[in-house]
Amino acid sequence: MKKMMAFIKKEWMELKRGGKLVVSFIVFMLFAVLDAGIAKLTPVLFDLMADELADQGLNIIQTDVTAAQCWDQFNGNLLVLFIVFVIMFAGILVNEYQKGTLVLIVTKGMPRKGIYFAKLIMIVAVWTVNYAMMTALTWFYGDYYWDNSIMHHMFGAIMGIWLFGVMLCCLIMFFSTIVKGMSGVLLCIGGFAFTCSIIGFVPGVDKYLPTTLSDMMTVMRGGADISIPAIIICIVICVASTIGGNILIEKKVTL
Amino acid sequence: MLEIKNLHKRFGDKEVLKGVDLIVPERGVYGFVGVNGAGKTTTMKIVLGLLKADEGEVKVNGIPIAYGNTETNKMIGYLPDVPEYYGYMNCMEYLKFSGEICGMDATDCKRRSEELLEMVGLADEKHKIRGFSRGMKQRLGIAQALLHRPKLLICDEPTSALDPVGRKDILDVITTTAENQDTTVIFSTHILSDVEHICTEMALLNNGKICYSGSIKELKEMHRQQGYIIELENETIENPNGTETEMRQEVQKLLEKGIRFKKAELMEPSLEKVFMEVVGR
Repeated sequence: MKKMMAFIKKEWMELKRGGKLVVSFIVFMLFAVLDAGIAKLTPVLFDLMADELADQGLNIIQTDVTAAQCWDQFNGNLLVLFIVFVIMFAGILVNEYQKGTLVLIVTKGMPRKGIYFAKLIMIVAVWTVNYAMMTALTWFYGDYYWDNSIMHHMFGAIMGIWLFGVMLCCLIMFFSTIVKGMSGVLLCIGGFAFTCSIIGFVPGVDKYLPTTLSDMMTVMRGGADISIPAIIICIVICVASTIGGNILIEKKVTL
Repeated sequence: MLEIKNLHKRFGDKEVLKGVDLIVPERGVYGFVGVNGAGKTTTMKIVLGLLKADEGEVKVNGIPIAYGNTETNKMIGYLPDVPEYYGYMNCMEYLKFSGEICGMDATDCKRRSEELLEMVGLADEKHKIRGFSRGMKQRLGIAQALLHRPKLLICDEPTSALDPVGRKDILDVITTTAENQDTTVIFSTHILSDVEHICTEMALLNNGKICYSGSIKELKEMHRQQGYIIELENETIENPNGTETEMRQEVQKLLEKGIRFKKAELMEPSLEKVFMEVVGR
């Protein structure tokens, strides 16, 4: 445990000094401000474009903005946010193999599982803290300018998105034990998302897919309930990938 | 200190180690010599538990090692040919981190780090490791390897990537380590002059097997050629087949005749020549 704590401290130093901590914080906060900002500016934008749109035969009579537009933006921006997050952290383990920095640490008695869990804990912590702050800020804007009470299943929906993010963290770590470089991890994550979207074309399967959790707008608008099977499958993927990753890192020849 | 019995390792079709047997005694610097690709690094990685042996037994200080088993690594310090660190740390921060991984007490780790950085000449170095030269990284490598007071220090080709000045520095530090730190050093290399410089005993790895292990002096003795050279004022008498007795007789004759000579010596084979003979090249 002490060794893992030492490694977590090292990870913290790496994120801090490498600038990833600040950059990820800025990105998440920027998205939070954008969520409310775009919703708030929508009527102004429509007013500015009204004449141009009228020339094209489109008449804008009244634009009512509610908290729903703010959360619409929140959900709409999530895909970009996930992509940025994955790109930012895809190299967390593979970069160490490529540089060879783990060799000295492992020969000093650092268990490979300890390395795996320290990195997983760190990446999940960064995701959780940033996501919590982004959600809190969006919530604050939603309540300050409009009224969040019109939204449905908010806690469940927010937790569902968080769980999807945790699953991405688990998958980054798992794929890092299979491939050698960062591009490999990105390809695997992309392949996973692509496979889910292909499976999603089959009618009725959608509710089982963990990718359902990455967009909760229908749930927040009250159009659907949170998919429990998707949550269960997401948790299963988290657990299975962590177990698999731990087995594979022990067998990894090149550190 | 280190005992290797019948060690086998295969990578796909290629059998790298074909039954390595080696015993490294306690204390001193032990040379582990072989051409590139002979299997030196593979052997060292098996000793460190980084690679799994297909067959054979390895014991460090009497304790068998196992793949992934970190117990014996508590007794081993490791210095690779090109050690890689976290560039955003400085020397002290890296040694503190290493100490925490080794489970050292914070005060002891700080004291030991200062002592070792002084020994390797990095005590005043406050910059981040990313700006270090190869020689500096290698010196820090020795400090980190000795931090937890290992009984065995494995140096895997530590001078291969260095310039002559860096090489001399590292060889000096390794010699000092063996003399003052109560640590047995295994010095794996293909640079024979380095081995001759700091080792008293060595093992020759060739074609996946140990073809010689013992003292360097005895190895040279075994491959000593007949022959002697006598350098006179203006000429040289060279007898490639002459014995020591014949050289003495020749010297006696010269003395009797009153002919001055600069030196008379038996032909000493270089380690390089012996190495070539042993590996059959």
